Amino acid sequence: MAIDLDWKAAYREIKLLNWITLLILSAAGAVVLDAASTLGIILGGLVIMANFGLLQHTIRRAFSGEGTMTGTKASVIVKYYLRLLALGIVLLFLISRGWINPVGLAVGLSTVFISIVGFGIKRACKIYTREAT
Amino acid sequence: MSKKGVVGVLTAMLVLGTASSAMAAEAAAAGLWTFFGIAIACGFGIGVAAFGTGLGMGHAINGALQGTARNPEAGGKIMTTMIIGLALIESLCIYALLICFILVFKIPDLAPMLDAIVQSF
Repeated sequence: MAIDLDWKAAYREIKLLNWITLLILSAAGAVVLDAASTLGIILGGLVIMANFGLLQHTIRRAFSGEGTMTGTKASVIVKYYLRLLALGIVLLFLISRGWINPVGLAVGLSTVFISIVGFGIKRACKIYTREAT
Repeated sequence: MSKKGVVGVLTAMLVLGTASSAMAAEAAAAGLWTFFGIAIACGFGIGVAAFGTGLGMGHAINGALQGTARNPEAGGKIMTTMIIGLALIESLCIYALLICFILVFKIPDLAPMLDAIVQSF
């Protein structure tokens, strides 16, 4: 059972799935929920997508394909904590202002989670279909 | 501590907690308990979430590094899977952080709560 996981292709696919998921969630929110919830979904989705992009960027820049470190250890740690700090500040700002519904924000923050699960299911289906034929 | 001891302590805490909440029927005391409850929930919530996330990420990175060390050619693929795994694990802590922020903004003003604490003694 060979899994061909080239990061560039996988990331491109996950990014596309992220946008599709965000679009579906925000459209569903706009139809079913109120404006504050929809805004929460959109902002949450954008925040978590940026966070995911930065996470993969930091790790990919820090390590080569063979697993050796290409950057300095300190820069990786500093970038990691800066990203978390920025995420915390953004979430604090969004919640403290009261413009958005926190439940909508939580749904929006699930965008990457949902798309990665979708990506996994898609890959698994592909593998099983290949094995079956 | 033995099982009986733990059950005893928990029962005592439950009884004391119930008695205390009965006393806290008064407005100020109720506010006080709300304040305590939210503050403790925030602290423990993010603590437990960070603990779990740390363990999960540690296991993931440990496995990825061991795999890469044993089979360096597979490093790229292992790294891909690790990044995806890390994003999934990290999202759990982000949810906890969000819940904590929501709870923090539900905490009543500190000054009236401190007055209630002083009056309760």
